[in-house]
Amino acid sequence: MAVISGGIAIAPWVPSGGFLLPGGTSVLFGGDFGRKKIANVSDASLEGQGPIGDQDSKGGRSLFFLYPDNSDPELTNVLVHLQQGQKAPDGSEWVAYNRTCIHLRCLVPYVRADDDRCYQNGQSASNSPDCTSIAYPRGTLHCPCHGSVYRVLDGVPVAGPAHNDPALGRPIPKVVIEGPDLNGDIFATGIIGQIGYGRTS
Amino acid sequence: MAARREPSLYTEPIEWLKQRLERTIFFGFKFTFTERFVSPLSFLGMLTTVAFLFLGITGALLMLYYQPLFQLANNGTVIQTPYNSVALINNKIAFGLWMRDLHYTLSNAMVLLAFLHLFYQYFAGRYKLRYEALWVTGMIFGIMTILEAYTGYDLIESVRAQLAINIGKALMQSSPVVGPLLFQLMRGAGIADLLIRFYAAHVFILPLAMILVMTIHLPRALVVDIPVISMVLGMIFIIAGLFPVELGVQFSPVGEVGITTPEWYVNGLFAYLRTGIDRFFAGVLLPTIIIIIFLIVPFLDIGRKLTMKDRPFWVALGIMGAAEFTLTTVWGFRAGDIISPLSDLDLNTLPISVAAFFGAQTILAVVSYLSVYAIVRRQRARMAQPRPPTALKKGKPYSLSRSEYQMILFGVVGFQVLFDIFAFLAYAKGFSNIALAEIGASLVGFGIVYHMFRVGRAIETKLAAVSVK
Repeated sequence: MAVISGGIAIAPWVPSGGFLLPGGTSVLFGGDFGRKKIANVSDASLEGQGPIGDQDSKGGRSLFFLYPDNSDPELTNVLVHLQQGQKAPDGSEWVAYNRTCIHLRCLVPYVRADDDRCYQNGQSASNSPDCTSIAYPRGTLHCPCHGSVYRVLDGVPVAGPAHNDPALGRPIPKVVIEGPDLNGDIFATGIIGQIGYGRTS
Repeated sequence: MAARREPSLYTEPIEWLKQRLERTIFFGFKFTFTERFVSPLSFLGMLTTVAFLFLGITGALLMLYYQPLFQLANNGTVIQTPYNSVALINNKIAFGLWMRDLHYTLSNAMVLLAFLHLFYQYFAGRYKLRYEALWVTGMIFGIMTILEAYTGYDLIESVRAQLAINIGKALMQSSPVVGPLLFQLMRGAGIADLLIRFYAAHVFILPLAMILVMTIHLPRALVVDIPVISMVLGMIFIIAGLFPVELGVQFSPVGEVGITTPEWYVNGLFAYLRTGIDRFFAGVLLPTIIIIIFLIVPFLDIGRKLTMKDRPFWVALGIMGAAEFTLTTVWGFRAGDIISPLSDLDLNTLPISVAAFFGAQTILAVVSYLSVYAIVRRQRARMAQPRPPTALKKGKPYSLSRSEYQMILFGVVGFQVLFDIFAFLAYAKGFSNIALAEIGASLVGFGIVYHMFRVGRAIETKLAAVSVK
């Protein structure tokens, strides 16, 4: 009887565990979050490669943006203006992905195809002929924590843990973008896939 | 037996206080102030406690300036970051760098001392003899120490911290049943919540829990060896001064992120994760299994014998654990082939081949296991052989003459004075780290002097006893 009585006394407190779980987490599960301007063609791309709107023959140009909101660094995304001659499966020369790696949530950058950061034993070896036979293709999304590599055209993992672990292997979440309008503005309209988990469809 | 001292103005208040303290929990502990040098290996736990104490002091001081606020602008640039307050402590606040250096080095020292303590007690069989409660709480204390260290280095919100936070979140999320709930608890509504939660855990919740566990973990008999404690502290000060903690690169979600390695005590896990095997297995299940094995050792090794040669299996297990921990930790710092270094820019050095990694581990396990058995077998064979009783060589311990004793004593004190002067000069010139190292050297000097003093007193007492006879 004492146990029942104690249980009755405690029961009303159980929902108060919600104190620890504030809302606002739905954003992690992808969806349509409304149209938001993310960049302009005149914006500078990373690594000092000039404006993102100019197409490059030596490698794609990229920049990072937050979408849909600024509540968490995991909502950081990469916008890539593909290199000349490359086209995404939908025919666009622009692609955008969430940067949260599906393996362990590190933040993935785009590594340019002409990135001459070729290193051997910690030394820069850009002129070495061996640098052409590098194991992983450059011009990819490459995770700096555990080395997962995603294809830039469709975000499918092609090497590293995200590819090798049979339980993973999902493409990295894709940000739906609307190409530059007349003012050169680029918009994001939604995320396909779950952040840190990947696309299932 | 030393004669009971006459009550004096000096001893009277101490006696009064002692009698009052007998009414409290304080004398539940039996403090032993060692009269001679004892190997610090036998009181590594006390050294860990001292590190914990000083972490509390330096941490409380760091709290005066640290701000766990993280706020991002709509375009992803950082408005407010804890990194700025850490940079402020590091660069602007007087003695701020000292506090950071000390707090960081002490945290590493505490984890290291806790590991050494664990292995020493393990090999000494100190989980037997009704010490089971101490062993189990010790393992819990060790886990909390690692969590405390992990939450601590994440509070800086450098690139390395952010990646460690993300990996922690992902490992939690990958765990079944309670994982997603813990993930939510940890994350709240985003990074701002997470950082405040880590802060609350780091400065209050975990330390409080550690103090509570400590009340069960501390044995009744406590060895307080002031000379060795001050020497170890001095050495920690020296290391803190010579290897100042890095500030790291400020994290921004729209900034670039390079290769970083975690702190050394989780570097083994880092190596496991880099092999690309299932993340839940590598990052959660495997450490849990290892912890559980060590946790239940006292209930499996139920023989009454303590010596290592009588429990070869458990010694082999311990050696294996230490060897594997060393190998994986080293590998975490190295490239996939372990021979070349992990370049901070070359992403191709990251992956570790599953075959090489687990192959090396298997070989190491077999080698350490067999070598322990080989040594034990040799020892047993040697013990079995009847040996002629060897005459015990009675080396006469060299005791210092009074003048030698005084010379060393004054010499060390002289060095201490010099180090203090140098410390002031170094600080005035802006080399605050060198000053910290020199203060550490002075503290080591204090330890030596105190040791000389107690040895000298013991000799004097002995001489007095002889002359009375």
